[in-house]
Amino acid sequence: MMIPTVALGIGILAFLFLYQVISRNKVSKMNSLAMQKQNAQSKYEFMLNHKRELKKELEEKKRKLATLRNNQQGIKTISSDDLEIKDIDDNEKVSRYLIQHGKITMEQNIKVLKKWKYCRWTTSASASQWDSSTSKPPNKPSRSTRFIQNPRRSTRPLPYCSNKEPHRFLDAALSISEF
Amino acid sequence: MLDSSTLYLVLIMAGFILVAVIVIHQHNCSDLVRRKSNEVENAVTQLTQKTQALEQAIVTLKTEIEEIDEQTVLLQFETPS
Repeated sequence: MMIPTVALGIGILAFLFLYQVISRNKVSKMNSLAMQKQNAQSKYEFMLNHKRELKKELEEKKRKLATLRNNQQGIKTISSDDLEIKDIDDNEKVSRYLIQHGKITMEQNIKVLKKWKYCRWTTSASASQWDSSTSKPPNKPSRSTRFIQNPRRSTRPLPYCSNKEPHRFLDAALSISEF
Repeated sequence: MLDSSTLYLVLIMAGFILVAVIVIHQHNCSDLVRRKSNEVENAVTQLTQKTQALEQAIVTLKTEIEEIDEQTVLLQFETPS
């Protein structure tokens, strides 16, 4: 009875030992492979960053060289920031922001810009009519103003186009995007 | 209680089962390692190729930068202070 028990114990111990050895071997190999991949990846990223930096440096140096050449020829380069030119109005900024954040699409942006221009035109027309008559508002609104004020003709209400409230391009763009 | 021959038979069967478990475990582990090593080898090859291309690009960029530096120095000397 003693011999089988000892044999069983030795067998179980050997089994556990072998199992552990195989598992450790696998883990160490997997780790070394992961390290190898990591090394290659880090080297690639380092080279990529180095290339980006060099590109930036090259562009800066090219710009400096161009400035030097222009100065030598008597032409002084000046940027748009130096001139303080603001060729973008607020509406364009807002529409760019909304497109960038995916609130509206390009088509919706074009649509709302068209409507916005139309609204501005109609309000300016009605305002000029109001100014021309000294005390009363115009009795007959123009064709374009009637189109906005008459709910039967316009299938979709344009809340941002009312004459009483100031126009808000952002609200208009967002209300268009919700439709 | 079991007699001795039955007990030995049971022990031998248990031994076979343990050996089979060890063999299956070894096979699984080696298969996993082989797959992983193939995957890593492919990735490393691709990354090495990309890195070599980047190295060439970097050498070109450095040459261009040196040329521009030389031109800048020449221009600075030519420009009257």
